[in-house]
Amino acid sequence: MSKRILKNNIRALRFHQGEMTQQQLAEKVGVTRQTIIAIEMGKYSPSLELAFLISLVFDLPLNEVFSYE
Amino acid sequence: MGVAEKNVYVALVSTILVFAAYCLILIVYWDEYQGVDATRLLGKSIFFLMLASVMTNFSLRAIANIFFPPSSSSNPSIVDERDKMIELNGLQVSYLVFTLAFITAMLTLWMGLSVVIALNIIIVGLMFGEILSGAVKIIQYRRGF
Repeated sequence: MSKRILKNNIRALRFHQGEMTQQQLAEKVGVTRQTIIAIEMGKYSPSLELAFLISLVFDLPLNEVFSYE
Repeated sequence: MGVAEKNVYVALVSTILVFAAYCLILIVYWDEYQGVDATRLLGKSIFFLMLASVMTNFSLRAIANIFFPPSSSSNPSIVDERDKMIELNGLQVSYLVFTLAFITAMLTLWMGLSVVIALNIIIVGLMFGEILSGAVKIIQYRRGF
């Protein structure tokens, strides 16, 4: 069975949300900019709560922001 | 680089410096550590080692803030879940190394070696654990996990 990884399209969503910066997204969800960078690059899997907070910022369901493939 | 990550680098460098200085002192004064007053000398060394660790850490942190000031966008008061997770992973590593050092120290006592040697093994284990913990944290900050 191949290993599944958590992917996201936060970068694209930020761009479409009025070119929101990583810092702005970080402030909205209460984390550091470095954490947002790590999530976008796939170096860090956010907690469930943080994933929901990010989805709420973009006003999208969780599975449209994150995917587990 | 965030504030928490920068603090990890500072802590690692200061621990390495203090560890190196302590090893040097041990080597230079090794004969006196085997003498009659060995335990008293060891207690004094460890006390000054703790003071040196704190002072080195503060000094290096101040220097790092001068040469690498935090950006206006970074918020030093935020320690988010990723920082806490990395901190916990580092703590696990340092506890493991310290436990191994402690067991080794007890074994040396059982074998009949001196208390000074056992205590030094514990001190070295503590410092080596901190160094390894810092290295693990840096790897996780850089490569992710």
